[in-house]
Amino acid sequence: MPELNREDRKKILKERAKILARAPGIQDDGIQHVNIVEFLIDYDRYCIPMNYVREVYLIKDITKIPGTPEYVIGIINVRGQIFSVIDIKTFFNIPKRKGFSNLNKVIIIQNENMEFGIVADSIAGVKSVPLDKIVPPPLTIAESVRKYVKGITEDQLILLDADQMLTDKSIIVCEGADEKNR
Amino acid sequence: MNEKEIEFQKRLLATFKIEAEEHVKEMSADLLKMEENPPIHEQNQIIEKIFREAHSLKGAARAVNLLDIEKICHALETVFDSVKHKGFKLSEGKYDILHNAVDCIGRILVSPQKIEEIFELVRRIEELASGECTDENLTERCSQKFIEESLSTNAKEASTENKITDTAGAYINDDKRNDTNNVRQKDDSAERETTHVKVLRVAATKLDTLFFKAEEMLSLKQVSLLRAHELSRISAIFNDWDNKWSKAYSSVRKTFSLQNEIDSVKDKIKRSSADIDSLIEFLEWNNNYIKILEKEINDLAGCTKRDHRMISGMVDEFLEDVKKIIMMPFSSVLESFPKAVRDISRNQGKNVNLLIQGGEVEIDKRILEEIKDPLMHMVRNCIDHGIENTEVRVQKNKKPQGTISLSIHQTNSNQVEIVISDDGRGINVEKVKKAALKSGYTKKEDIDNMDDKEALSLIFQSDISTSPIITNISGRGLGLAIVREKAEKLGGKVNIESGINAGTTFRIILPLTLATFRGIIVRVADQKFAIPTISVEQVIRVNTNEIKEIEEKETVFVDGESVPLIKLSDVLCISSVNKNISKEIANSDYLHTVVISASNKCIAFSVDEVLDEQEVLVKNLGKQLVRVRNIAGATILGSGEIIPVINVYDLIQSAIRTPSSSVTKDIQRETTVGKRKMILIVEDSITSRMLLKNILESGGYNVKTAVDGIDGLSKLKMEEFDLVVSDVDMPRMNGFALTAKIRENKKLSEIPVILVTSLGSREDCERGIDVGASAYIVKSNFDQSDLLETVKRFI
Repeated sequence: MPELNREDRKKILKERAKILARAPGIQDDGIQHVNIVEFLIDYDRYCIPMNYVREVYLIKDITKIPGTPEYVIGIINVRGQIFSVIDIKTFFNIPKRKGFSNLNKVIIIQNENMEFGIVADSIAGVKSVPLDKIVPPPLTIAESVRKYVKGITEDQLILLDADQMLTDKSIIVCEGADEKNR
Repeated sequence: MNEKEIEFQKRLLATFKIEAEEHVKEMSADLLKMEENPPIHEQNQIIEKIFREAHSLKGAARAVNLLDIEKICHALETVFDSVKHKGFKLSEGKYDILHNAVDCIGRILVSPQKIEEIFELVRRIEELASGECTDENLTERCSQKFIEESLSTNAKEASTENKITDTAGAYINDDKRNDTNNVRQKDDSAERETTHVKVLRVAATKLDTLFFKAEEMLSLKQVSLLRAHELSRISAIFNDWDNKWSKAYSSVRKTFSLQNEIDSVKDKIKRSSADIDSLIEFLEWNNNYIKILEKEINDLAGCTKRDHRMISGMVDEFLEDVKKIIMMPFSSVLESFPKAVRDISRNQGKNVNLLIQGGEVEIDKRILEEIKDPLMHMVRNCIDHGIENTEVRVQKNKKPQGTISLSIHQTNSNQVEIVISDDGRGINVEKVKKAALKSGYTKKEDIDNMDDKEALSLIFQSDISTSPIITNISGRGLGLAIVREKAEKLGGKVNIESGINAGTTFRIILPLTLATFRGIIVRVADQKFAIPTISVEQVIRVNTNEIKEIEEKETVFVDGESVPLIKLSDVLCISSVNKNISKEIANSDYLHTVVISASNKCIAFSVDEVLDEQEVLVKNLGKQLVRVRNIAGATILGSGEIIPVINVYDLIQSAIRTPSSSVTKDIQRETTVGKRKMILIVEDSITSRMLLKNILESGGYNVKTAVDGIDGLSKLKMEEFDLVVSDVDMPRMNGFALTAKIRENKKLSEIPVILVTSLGSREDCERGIDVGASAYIVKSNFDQSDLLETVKRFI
């Protein structure tokens, strides 16, 4: 590579800075973008719209709650506030692959009425994806799961329907001693 | 009762004072505005306002029997009425009288005034209204009056002047008032300031966040306790090091001096000698270094302990004060009840009288808000199901008018009882049973076995209603279920008593304050749970021999009654994964059980360990877990660890349905695994002996005792022991001598010896170590866990 002179270098850097300074989400091409958080569970790549994510938290300790469905992993203490944490793979009834999995991160999602954490192996990062490149989920995905999937992004991430998950009644645990064992 | 009434009167008066002060303030401010001669339409508005102020003050004064104020207000009302309707003009002198009157009310609030003075005042106001009074003699009399007044006020003020100046200054921020008025205002407010506490109105939401934060302070207290404990533990570790080191150090020194001798003899290996010198130097340095570290840690541990004491004191006081703020009288929600009762009963063509007693009892505002609807529901139930129509009542020889009584009283320092009863038809138990069968809630044979009380409590189940028709008011069978759930969620309970035609009585027991209560922390398998102490009858150790089997179900005797014994892990469906823990049970012939009573039932639950009893702040499990079986919520410990809090009512329900595996079988299977350790206690005082024996036995050890050193030594020679716990001061042979003897004996020399003593000095401790004791516990800082932990370290 030939040596660049001072002026050229400056120019290149300026251009790069310009690209980097562009606000993500609203890009020049006029196509709408959505900010997402990408994460991995058991080698599957998921993502969820950023505006539903309250925070990402590293689990140190999780307390199991007896009597809850299997998909409820337990509760965690986030600065004095308690959140329940669910495993969406179990909730979707997707069999787990064998192999190493260290579910130690929690993505806390919320809307006005609901909030809970989704457990993840790792958080891949935050990015902006163009809305027009999101395609409907393939038919191979089970019906029970399709309900919670908005689509597949350009780079093959499963985009979860956060709104559906947060408003879905079946995710809420509400049972008393009276209802069970009738 | 009488005392309560007096108390109530007092409080009512206090409330009136606050209200009256506001009225007085408004009235004098408005009068001032009037004096400035604003445009006519504004004047009318102001007059209207003053008129209303005077009127409501009159009403309020009558309610608390302050007739003087009532009289003055009445007179004022007349004046303003004539101003309003007859176009009566107020001149300067007349304003003075009016101000005078208003101020006089203010003074009455502080202390009763002379009757003549008030009489005179009222007369003059009335003269004013009728227009008989001329301006001249008015001003004359007024000025005279004013002098008297200011004299008396000055005298009062003089004593407290310094204190007042600041606060009085703060009052003067109304820029509309001119200077002279300021002076008057100053007198006014100053006087008030000296006699009562100011009252602020704060939005409830602001207070709520304050309470929330205040309760969070509890975790601060717990954290500080935890830190203090951790530091003491580290100090204890240093103690161990001290013991070991002092032993090793002397032998190290000996070895070195020996080496030196050898060196000097042989004089060959000079290099090794230099090495040894540097090693010695390092050991010296190391010794000092660790000693300094030890001292610092000890100091820090002490400080932290003191800090914890201070923090916990402050937090407790703070919480107590905050709790007081949050208390509100029941009457604040019961106000709407009489009207509602009247409306509903009219609608149904019934004649019902509602009696409310104890509305003045104060309770946590949040509980009050939660319980309001359930209470209303129960009252509605009483009208709808309980009270009969007038004709039916007459037929039954009852008073035509039905009565529902709602009485509230405080039963102890942290509980209130709400009794709702009616004199209606009562609940037909047979009907309840039928309804229960129909809803499929219970089986036929179960119902046949029930006594009336149990059957009656079935009406708290959802879907069970005895009402043949569903009205818009009740009959769906959900209501009472909700009532019970609310009450239980708040940490209370609901009971019912009823007899046919004898009416129905509901008793709701509620805690006075919400959120924090005491909880017993237990361990089951590798999980911890908190059980509300209020529902725990007893925490007992049950000897496994005492467990009896009745119809293949295990029971234990608690206070002479046979109580079913169920494993908590079975009810909660937790499987014990950790085998070490079950081994612990195996080591003991005793079983830790928590006897819980709720819904008229009592069950003993076996747990692996009872860890602690502490204050517990219950939090929700998060929005997604609305209701979980057996779990009421969770609490956060000082360590940040979350612990689920047991819902005892659910637990009892679940326990009845859960087939529990046998506790004894578990133990029998596991006892073969480990043999129990044998400990000898040597102690001359019988009390201490019994105490030590008890503690060690509870820790799962076999214990034998000896009364002094000689007795102990002979026992040691006869039997095999794993450890000796000995006192120091004893007749015949003391603890030091005994230890020395043990160490001398070839067969016994390996037995760990723990000296427990009141001799706390360093020399004693060192002497103990010198003679070969393994540990030295000073009685003054001695508690159960200390001893057990020390013992555990050795065997």
